[in-house]
Amino acid sequence: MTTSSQMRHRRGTRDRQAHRLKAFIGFVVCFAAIIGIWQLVTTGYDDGGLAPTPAASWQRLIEVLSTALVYNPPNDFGIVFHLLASLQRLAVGFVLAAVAAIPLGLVLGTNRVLHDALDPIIQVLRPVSPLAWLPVGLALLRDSEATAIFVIFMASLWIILINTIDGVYRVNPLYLDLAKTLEATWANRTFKVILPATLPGIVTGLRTALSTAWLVIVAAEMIVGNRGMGTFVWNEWNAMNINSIIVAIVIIGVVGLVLDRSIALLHRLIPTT
Amino acid sequence: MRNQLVSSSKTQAGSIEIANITKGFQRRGGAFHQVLGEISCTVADGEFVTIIGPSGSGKSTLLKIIAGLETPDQGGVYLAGQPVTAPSRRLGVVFQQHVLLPWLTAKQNVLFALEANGTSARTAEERNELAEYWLEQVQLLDAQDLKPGQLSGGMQQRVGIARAFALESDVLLLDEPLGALDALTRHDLQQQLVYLSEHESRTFILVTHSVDEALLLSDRVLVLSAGPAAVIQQELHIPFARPRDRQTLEQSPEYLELRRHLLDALTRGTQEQKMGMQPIADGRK
Ligand SMILES: Nc1ncnc2c1ncn2[C@@H]1O[C@H](COP(=O)(O)OP(=O)(O)OP(=O)(O)O)[C@@H](O)[C@H]1O
Ligand SMILES: [Mg+2]
Repeated sequence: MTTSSQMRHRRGTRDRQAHRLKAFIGFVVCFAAIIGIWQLVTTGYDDGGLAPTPAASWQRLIEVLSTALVYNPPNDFGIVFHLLASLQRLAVGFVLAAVAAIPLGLVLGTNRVLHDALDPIIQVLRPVSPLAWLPVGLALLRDSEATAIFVIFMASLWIILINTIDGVYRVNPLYLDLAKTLEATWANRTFKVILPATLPGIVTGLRTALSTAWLVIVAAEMIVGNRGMGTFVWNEWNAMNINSIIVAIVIIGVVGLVLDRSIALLHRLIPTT
Repeated sequence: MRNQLVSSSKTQAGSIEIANITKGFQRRGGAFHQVLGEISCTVADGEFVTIIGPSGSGKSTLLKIIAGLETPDQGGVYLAGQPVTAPSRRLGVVFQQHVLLPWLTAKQNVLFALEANGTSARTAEERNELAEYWLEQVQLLDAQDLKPGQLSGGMQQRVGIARAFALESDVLLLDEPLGALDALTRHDLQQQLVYLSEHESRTFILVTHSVDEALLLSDRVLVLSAGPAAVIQQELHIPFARPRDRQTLEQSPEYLELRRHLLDALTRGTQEQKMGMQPIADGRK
């Protein structure tokens, strides 16, 4: 009995290891293939470094990382400072959006009349690219920093709002019946029943919003701001330094992944049955 | 009988009157589905009444109306002479599916019921003691700090029962509280319910599918006919002395007689339903 179950356990572990090994080999092969195709595509255009070859990009990555901590205002910043500037804007805009959207979502989710009154406005503004708000922000705020944050705010707001409302609609109606039979006060009903039950929807909203905001900030920074990943990309483009842009793409991707994974951890905090 | 004893020594705080209520729902596609025909009955203070009937006949709907969670299309429900227009803490409910808040522990769930309305005559310590008392009554003191997800189905249902009792409502409405449980747990909890109901002078209205459960627990059984437009087609007094003991009860010839009678009434209801061309799956949630 014991030995057979141990054997089964061991076999399970072995299967999993075999699976991981296969997946890893697959990854290496695909990665090599991509580099190979990249090399093929770019060698024909060897015109003084404009087309980024894998080797040149690698070279540039080393350079960028070795000067990552350079800090010579006003124009010469290492990649770390660009990254920090982007992350800071992202954090401010994102937190402001969450602070506005979550309470508003709870109110709209629990108040049908208010929801139906505001829904047409939300539905029209939601599909608008956040970048369209950039000129509006510049005109109203007259400050590039504030405008970048405003764009992030707009990018996150609707996503968090709609997911929060949706989360409220998904609250088990029996919880609401329970709150009614207990004559729960508004505060108890909202904060001890509806809010916890809505958390999964809210976390989904935060997660999607953060990814979207990270997409948008890079684009926004190409236009406004004197520091940031977008600015870095724009400056390097103006310097015809395409290798740097490959480096920036890799860094933006990795940071985006880390952001997404860390906010996904919030899902673990919610107990469900 | 017990209810007479209780009602003579106490005010009529837990008496319920159901007067000519009807209820229907608009189905998708526009057809109107009459769930409850005209239903009237009274439940005395301290009485234990069971509603039994085929699946989908409208038992839960009736209980929800009594609880104030649904409004009847016609007629009204009166608690101690006052119309019931909204849910109230005087009408405790144990739901068909247990409704515990998954982010709270067993004890916190009971405490939430005690504190939800924002005012309490008790201090925090007294509420705590009360919650522990009722969890002990359902043998869950050891599990008080576990979340619902960590409890078995039977334990979850017992927390729901403890919560409803802790509320100290005048009336307890129980919608198949033991319906989703295995036979053994169910048997065990029925025993606990007999004990609790005999030691608590409250009014009980229980919905169940089980004839034996009805006979064991109730002073009176109302048999609902199969829908649509269900009505009370039978009313049975269960005369067994209290405290009741299942073994002695089940051995008495009177019990077998009542049991046969009830089963008869129930099957008659379903046969009528079939003749009325009602799809069998109809009304199942
Ligand atoms: N909110 C609602 N909207 C529409 N129809 C409803 C609603 N609630 C109940 N019904 C209908 O009312 C009928 C009775 O439902 P109810 O839940 O009261 O039955 P029940 O007797 O409790 O059944 P069961 O024994 O299976 O729990 C069903 O046909 C159901 O479809
Ligand atoms: Mg039911």
